[in-house]
Amino acid sequence: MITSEPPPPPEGGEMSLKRDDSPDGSLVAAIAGGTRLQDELYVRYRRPLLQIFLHRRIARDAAEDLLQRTFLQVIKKIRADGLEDPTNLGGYLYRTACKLAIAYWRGELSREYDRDQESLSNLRDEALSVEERLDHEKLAKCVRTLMGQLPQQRDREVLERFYLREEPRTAIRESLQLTELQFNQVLWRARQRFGDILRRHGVAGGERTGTVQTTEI
Amino acid sequence: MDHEFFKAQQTAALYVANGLGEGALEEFELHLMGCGRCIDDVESWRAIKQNMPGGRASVRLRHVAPFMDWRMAASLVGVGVLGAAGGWVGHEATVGPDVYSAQTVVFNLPATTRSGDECTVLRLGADTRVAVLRVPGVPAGLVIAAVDGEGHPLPAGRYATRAQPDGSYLVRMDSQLLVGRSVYLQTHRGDGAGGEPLGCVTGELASGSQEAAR
Repeated sequence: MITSEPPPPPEGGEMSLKRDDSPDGSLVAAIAGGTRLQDELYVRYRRPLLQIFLHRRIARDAAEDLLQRTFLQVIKKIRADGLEDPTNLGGYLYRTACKLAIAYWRGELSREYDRDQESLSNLRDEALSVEERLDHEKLAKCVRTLMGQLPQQRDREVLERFYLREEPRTAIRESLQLTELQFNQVLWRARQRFGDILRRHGVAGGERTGTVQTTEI
Repeated sequence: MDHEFFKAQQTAALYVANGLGEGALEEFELHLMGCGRCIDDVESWRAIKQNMPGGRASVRLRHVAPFMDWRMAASLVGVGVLGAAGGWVGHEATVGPDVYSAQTVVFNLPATTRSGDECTVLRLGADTRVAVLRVPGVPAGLVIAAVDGEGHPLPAGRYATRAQPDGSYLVRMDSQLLVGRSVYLQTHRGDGAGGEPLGCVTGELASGSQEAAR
C-alpha cells in the first residue's frame, strides 16, 4: 500500500501490535521499523480518512489521491523524526488529512508525488468502505428497500428533508412536531433497518441489535 | 465526549447531513479515527444520502483527473447577464436587495485553469449588501456549493445559487460572508458528493468606500 523504501527491519523480525498497551504506539514502531505490519496503518485508518475527505466535498478520485498523500507524509515523518506522541497516531493522521484537504481546495498541491503503484483492488476488505464493497446499483436498491420499509410516511419525510433537501433538523422537528428524542429515534430506526438490509447483502453495516423497534412515537 | 454520547445523539447522521458545528465536527472526526462502529454509521448514512430516491446520485460526473491544472481567471468584469431576479434555489436564499439596487454588485468569474494563486478579490462598496457572481461552464447535472477555508459548507441562508439556461450559474452571497475571508466555490452532484473545485473568492472594501464608511 505504502510507498518509499523502508529501512531494514530491526533485529527480532516482525514486531507485534500487542507489544505495548497502545495499538497506535505499536503501529508507529512498526512503521519506523519498516515491517509488514505497517499495512495495518492503511487497514485501520483508510475508511475514516476517506470519510473526512468526502465530508469536505472532495470527489472520490481525488480523495483516493489525498489518502495516499496522507499516509505517505505520515510514514515519512515517522521514519525521519518519529512522532512526539506515538499513541496519538490517529490524531496526527487526522490533522495531516485536514491540511491536505485545505491545500487541495486552494489548489496548492503539486501534481506529482511518489504515488503508490499498488491498486485499490489489493486492499483487504476491512479497509474498504460500504460503497466500495457493494456496487452502486445494489446500494441504490438497498436504499430504495429501506425507504419502502419505513413504517410511517413521516419517517420517509424526515430522511428526505434531512438528506435530500438538507433542511436543518430544528426546522424538520418543528414542522413535524417531533421532540429531539423522537427525531433521533426516527434516525435510529432507519439506521438499524439499513444495517439489516446491508447484512442481507453480505455487508456488515453496523452492530446487530435484533428486532428493529417499530413502535409508533 | 465519549462514544455513548455520539451514539445517543445520532452524531453520525448529523455529520453526514452537515449538521454539526465546528467544535463538534472536529471532536467527532477525531473520535471517528478510532471508532469502527461510527465509521459503519457514517458510511451507511452517506450511502443513504447519496442513493436516496429522487436524488441526483445517478448523474454521471464528467471525468476530471485529480489535480488537473485550473485557474480562476483574475479578470472580473461587471456583467448584465442576469435574468429574472426570482428562482433562486437551495441554501435558503439570501434575503437582500434586488439586482437593480446600488447595494448589489455583480461579477463575472470565468473559470479556466487551476493554480495555487491567492483568492480572487472582489471589490465591494461600503453599502454593498449582496454580491452576485456569474460562473459559466458548469457541467450539466452539477450544482455549485460554497465552502469555507476548512472545506466546511457555508451556513444555510447566507448564499443562494441559480442555474441559467446558458449553462452558467449565478451565486448570490451576503457580502459580509466575503469580506476578509476566503470562500471556495465547487461543484457537486446535488447530494454533496463528487464535483471539482472552481476557485476561491474573497471580498475587499474599495478604498474610497472604506473612507466613506468612516
